[in-house]
Amino acid sequence: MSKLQGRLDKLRQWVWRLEDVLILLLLLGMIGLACLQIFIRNAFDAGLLWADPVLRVLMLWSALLGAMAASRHDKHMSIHIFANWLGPRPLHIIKIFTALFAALICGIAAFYAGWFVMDEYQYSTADIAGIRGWWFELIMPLAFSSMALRFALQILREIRTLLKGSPP
Amino acid sequence: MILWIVLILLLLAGAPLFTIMLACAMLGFYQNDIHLSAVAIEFYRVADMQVLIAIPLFTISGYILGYSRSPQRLVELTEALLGWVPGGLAIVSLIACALFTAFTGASGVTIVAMGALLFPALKHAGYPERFNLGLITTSGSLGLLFVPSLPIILYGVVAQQMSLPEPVQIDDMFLAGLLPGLLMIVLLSIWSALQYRPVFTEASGKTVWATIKAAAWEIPLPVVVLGGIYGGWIAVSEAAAITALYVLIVEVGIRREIALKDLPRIVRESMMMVGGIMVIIGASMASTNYMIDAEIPSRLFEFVTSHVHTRWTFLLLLNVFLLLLGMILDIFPAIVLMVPLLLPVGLAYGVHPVHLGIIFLANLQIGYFMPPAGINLFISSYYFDKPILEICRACIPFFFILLLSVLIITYVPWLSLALLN
Repeated sequence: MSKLQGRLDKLRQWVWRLEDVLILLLLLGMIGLACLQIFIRNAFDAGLLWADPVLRVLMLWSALLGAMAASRHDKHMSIHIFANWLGPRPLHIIKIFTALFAALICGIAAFYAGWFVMDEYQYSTADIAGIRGWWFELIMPLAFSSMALRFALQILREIRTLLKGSPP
Repeated sequence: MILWIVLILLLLAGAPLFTIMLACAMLGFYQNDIHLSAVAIEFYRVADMQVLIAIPLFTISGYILGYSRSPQRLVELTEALLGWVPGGLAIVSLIACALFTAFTGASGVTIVAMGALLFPALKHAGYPERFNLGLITTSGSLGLLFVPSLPIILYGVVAQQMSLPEPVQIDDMFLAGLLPGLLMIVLLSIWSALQYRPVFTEASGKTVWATIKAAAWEIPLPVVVLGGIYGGWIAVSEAAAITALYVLIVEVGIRREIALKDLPRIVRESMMMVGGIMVIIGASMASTNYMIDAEIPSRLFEFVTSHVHTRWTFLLLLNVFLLLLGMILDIFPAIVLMVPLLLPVGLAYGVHPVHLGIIFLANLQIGYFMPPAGINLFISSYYFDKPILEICRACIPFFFILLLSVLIITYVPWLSLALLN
């Protein structure tokens, strides 16, 4: 059991690191491309036609990867009426329900985002810089399914801390 | 009906907001026999809005500045320039925090980054602890009305989605925020100066020059960003890109105050905030459709216009509502959720959309530290290790001063509209 736990922890560390690096690269790409575009426009009075749509896609990808990271650290925005006043135990119980709900909704969103991407794959030929549109849209099912998984894991964590009786 | 009650309970219990909004959108589409992949199609509209690029770029700039020693240099510089004024250090704190928050957003970063510098400095200068706690907690959201604050950009984006007769320009929003933001700083400064005026520290010309030299790399930044945007030379998203590149080169490349190995962590932290905002914007794209289908805006419109008869009453009610909202909800979701509902109502009472935006942001800004539940009270309580009630008490005078300025901002539209053409 503990060996499996160790391997899982290691896997998780790798996935997290991979995401961090990916976010960094996407962001650096955004900064570079946006500044290049400004430079070309001012220096040569021209522009890269594909730069703006690609910038927006980079923004979406880095934001959704950021949202995935936010759900691994429980950092999504929410209303905080009870959170600051309740004791740890009732809070854990409440969190089980909210995480269950979040996992469910993200799961449904992932499923239908996948449906949308499949449709685009089959029927749409729109492209940016020669790359078919569905490639760009792929981040939506990926991000939502990963968030669903993370909220589901949060349920397990909350249950475990409740059973152990010690705050994390 | 039961479903809606469950959703509201989950919302109050702290379920992530974007999941609640997605659930509303899904329910709406489902009831209207629309295939649920519409949720994804609507969500993807986030990638159609050019100006949103500014959000990650300004955010990463703010985070990098926050983790470097720029806050320290900013404080030293303003102190050297303004230390001789009575109550100078308090005014220094207000100005430095406002500038810092404009770049980083009111996410509590100001309290942590600036508080670490200013709290001991204020104490050393002889200011009483309660005053210092109140000042820093208040300053955590001061500066939201200045360029390049993200909530201002977001208000512009949301208002632009609504096809108003006269579209809201983001540059106009930036201009409009200038005087109201200054009013807040001036009122707080006067009050601080009247309260305490300890230690008369006049910096020598040599010290002033040294602090200017120390901050030589940072000084062009507000000049370029503020000047560029206020002057109308560069678009917001371009200013954001240039700022990000500049900050990266200076703080990571030249000053090396941020190690390369820390960069992925800092970028991740900043993108977690951006991601949190973007999923809410994306979810709102889908849920707004449902709200319009269910005629919620027009019902609200009819309800309000039939019960509230004058513009002043409407504005007063709006103030109360937004203050309470700002206390329990972060500024970004508050804007995304409420602007589509309240902007048409405001227009019906003859409120200028730009003025309405400033009223929105000013109220939400105070909500951040409004007792008993404003989020910055808890950040301060946690960071300074003081009981929450003590922080609440410390904030009360500051709260009333800013409340006064919000009332002035609300009832004197000139303040917000004077600089517009």
